[in-house]
Amino acid sequence: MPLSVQLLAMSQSSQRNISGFIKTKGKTYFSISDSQPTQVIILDIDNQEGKKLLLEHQTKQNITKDSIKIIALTLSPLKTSCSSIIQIQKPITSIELIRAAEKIRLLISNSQAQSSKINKHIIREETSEVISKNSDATQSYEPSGTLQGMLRKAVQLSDKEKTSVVLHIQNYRIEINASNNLAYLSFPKNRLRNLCYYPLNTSTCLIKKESLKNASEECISLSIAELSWNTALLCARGRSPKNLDNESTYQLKRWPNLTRWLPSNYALSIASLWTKAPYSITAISQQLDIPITDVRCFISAALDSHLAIICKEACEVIPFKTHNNSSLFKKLLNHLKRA
Amino acid sequence: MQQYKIIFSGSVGAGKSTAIKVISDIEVVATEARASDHIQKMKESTTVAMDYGRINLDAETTVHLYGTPGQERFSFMWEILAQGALGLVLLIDCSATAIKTDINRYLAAFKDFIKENAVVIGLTRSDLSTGIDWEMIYDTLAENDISAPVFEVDARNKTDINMLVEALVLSIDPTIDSTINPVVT
Repeated sequence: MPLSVQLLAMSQSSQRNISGFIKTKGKTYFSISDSQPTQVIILDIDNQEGKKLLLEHQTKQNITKDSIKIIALTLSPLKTSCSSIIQIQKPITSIELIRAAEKIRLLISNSQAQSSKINKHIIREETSEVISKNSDATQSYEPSGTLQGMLRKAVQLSDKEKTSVVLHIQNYRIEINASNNLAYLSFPKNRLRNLCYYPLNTSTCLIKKESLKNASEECISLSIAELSWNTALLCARGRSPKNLDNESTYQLKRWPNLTRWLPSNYALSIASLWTKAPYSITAISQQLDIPITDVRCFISAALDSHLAIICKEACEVIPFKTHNNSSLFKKLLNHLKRA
Repeated sequence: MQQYKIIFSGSVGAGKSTAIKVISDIEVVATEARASDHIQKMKESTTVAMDYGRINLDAETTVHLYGTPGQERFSFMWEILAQGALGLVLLIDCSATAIKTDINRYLAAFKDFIKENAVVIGLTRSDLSTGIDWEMIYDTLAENDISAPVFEVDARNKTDINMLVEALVLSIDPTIDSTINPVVT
């Protein structure tokens, strides 16, 4: 159930942006409600009205143990021991709002279950566990039951038999030729998305040793790596692929051609860190402070397109140190993204 | 005032001047001269000293963009321009016949610079080639002990060049991006 939320003491543009996010990407986490009291209040505390409302909340909280949670948006976070206030430093991002929602859900469920005070550090750990459990249970999918899994089988077969194989899905056909690393589609590239939505099995997707060369229609060629990468991301659609060990160590041997292939969330950062040294999925997620599902989607696509390898032997994981010029880099990245 | 520098280098006709032009906030300063040798067949004029563009981040921070001349006879400029730069954007013309030689030449010329700084590789003019031989390109990089980002780009396309520069920045520090993406307000 989404958390009922009110937006208070903020500029029109902030209100527009946040409510836009809540109505679209964030609708599973929040729903805007006019009726009081709501479970959450999102508040800009950099203005007088916001500061006043925050103070009122803190006083109320001390007296009545009010259950309303506050998400306080601020340029410079204040020191507060109040567990019902979650501060987000500006400029805020959608991921931070989602994290705050996860924290609040956890706070609510914990306060229902136990009355003892919750240490903030434990909340963070438990939240990440909840996120990881959620991604495994409700937001996960089995690649073998999608085009991604069928494609894996076809590539393996073509490689093993040194011949072309064709996947038949309804009227669509995909030829895989592992000897020249090329795939041929009997349909426009943008139709691939549709195929990735359907659950497939060996009866709905036939794999035959044949070629489309003799077929009458014109085929579109692309590299198997590109097809595998795009298929993996389209099948995932933000869900976490099953059968990936978060603690195994992986390394990226090659960068995905991200100017032409489908971009995944945080792909550049993940690729950059994973080419520097072997890391586990968990380590990448923690190091970059990004959702573990995004890392799992990335490595699943990278393994399918043979850009990454699983390190079988224990590797020395090198902790990454941030660079001295990080403020410049932030500005430059912001500039490039807005350009 | 904080001033930084990014270098664009690579083979003749790969699109270094064009790439700088598409992302620069100012009119690009170029040192073009009429091509007199075999380059004449490829294009009318060529860079002989450098191209200069600029990204103005704010009143205090500027990133200078320098493009090196592609021809090897002007290679003395490469080292001069690279001094103090944050990183190198290497553009390679995929429609050329000797791609491997080109990559090796530039990686060798900037060897010391790459050891200390980041490099990204953009493969241009792929529409004029019969297809990019990714195996060969990655093998060449591995021979040079480099694991840099390699993207297919169109030097005229701002999104492509922006992504190259983003990859360059994130190659230096991958932890930056997550703090600003995606911006809600």
